[in-house]
Amino acid sequence: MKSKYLEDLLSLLNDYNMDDSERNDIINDYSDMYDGWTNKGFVDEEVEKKLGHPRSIIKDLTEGFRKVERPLPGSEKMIALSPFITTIIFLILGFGFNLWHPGWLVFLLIPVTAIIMSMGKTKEDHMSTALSPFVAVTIFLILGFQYDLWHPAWIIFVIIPVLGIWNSRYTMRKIDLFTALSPFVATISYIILGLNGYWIEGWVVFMLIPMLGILNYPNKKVMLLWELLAIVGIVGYLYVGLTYENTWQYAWLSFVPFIAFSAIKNDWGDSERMPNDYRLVVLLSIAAFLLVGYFLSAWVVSWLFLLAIPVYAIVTEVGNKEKAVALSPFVALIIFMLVGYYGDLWHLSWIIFIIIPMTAIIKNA
Amino acid sequence: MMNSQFKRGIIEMCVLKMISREDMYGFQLIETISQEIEVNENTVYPILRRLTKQGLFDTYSKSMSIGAPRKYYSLTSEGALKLSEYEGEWRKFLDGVYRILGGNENEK
Repeated sequence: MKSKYLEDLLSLLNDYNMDDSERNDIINDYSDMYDGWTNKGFVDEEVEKKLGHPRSIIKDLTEGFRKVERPLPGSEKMIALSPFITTIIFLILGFGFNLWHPGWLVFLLIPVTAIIMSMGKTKEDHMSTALSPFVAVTIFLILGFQYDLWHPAWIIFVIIPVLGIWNSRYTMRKIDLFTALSPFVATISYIILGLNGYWIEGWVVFMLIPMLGILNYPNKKVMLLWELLAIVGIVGYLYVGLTYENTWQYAWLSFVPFIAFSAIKNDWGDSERMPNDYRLVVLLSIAAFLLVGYFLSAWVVSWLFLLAIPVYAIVTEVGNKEKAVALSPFVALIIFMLVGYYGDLWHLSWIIFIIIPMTAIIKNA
Repeated sequence: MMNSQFKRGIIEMCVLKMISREDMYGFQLIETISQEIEVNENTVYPILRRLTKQGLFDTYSKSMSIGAPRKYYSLTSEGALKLSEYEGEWRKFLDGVYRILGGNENEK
């Protein structure tokens, strides 16, 4: 609907330091363009696709303008007081309930407060990306300490790269978003299938990744043929392997037509519009995660490679002023995990999270 | 494979060229350009706006017999200069490409 579209656009423009006349000018122009497409017979949904989602065009429209900072009420005080408040809670938990451990987890509230207060000022899309390590760490440590489920509790950390990609959704086309998320869906599915005894046949879930990528191919007939060959490969592989005993080593041959066709096309689709840089980062980090996890049996820490994805998203998308604050949780998390796991110093390594409010305070200063 | 930065530069040149031929209003430009080349319509307006801010276009309002007045874009002398600069670079680039590909005299 036109009024809703313009309202959303205006609300995003209000977050930038521009004159009212400039802002109204943009809104009037979009109103004219909206009418133009409507008069040509396009329905609201089509018009909005042609104009672009407000969140996907805002970066181009506000080039050269700074985001308006609207400090959350009492934010400076909250950041300054959070270490004292958490210390009091920690002492109450410790002395009152003998919960020194895992009571120390309350100290994670210090960086969480700093991130919410700093990034909330500019309603940064990647705020939840920056907060996700804390949610993941808390769940991971509770499952680990209370139930000794270090493995497979580490899977929770997958939410960090997934959120990194999800929060970039407005700068990506939908299909690119699904393609970027597919490796995580496939990896988790594979692990779940594997833990249930399907390590051999389960890997076909990874076919989801090329199959989604192929959907981008501009020639629809070629695309359908390509997808068909992928399905033939999957069905053939499973049929042969499950029907005849000890044939898994030959069953993969059903993928030969698909592999040959892919080699001929030498292309996974319309890469001109695909974010190749994201694809490369996703592929490399997953490869590192799987190789280090498998060969060094280091699944509990190898997922740290997946952090390259949200880190890359933050480096390329978050404004310079918020970059350091947004990146500090990841630096802290890597140090926390390595020191905690290899040094068995969980109870001490959380101190590293203090660098996050420190970064926020230094940035504000 | 044409990267998006390169394509953006070409669209910028096309926008300048089209408005050098005749003054146009925003929607008219976007519709015309998207009929000629494969372009995501939502990328044109930000380019048009940026070039206007750089002083390459002037805008003026023109009343219509029906409906609200329309905002027209016209090329400034600075815009004309930029366009000839772009065109020169573009032709030089194409000459080089044709030389590598084995020549295409008809295109010159």
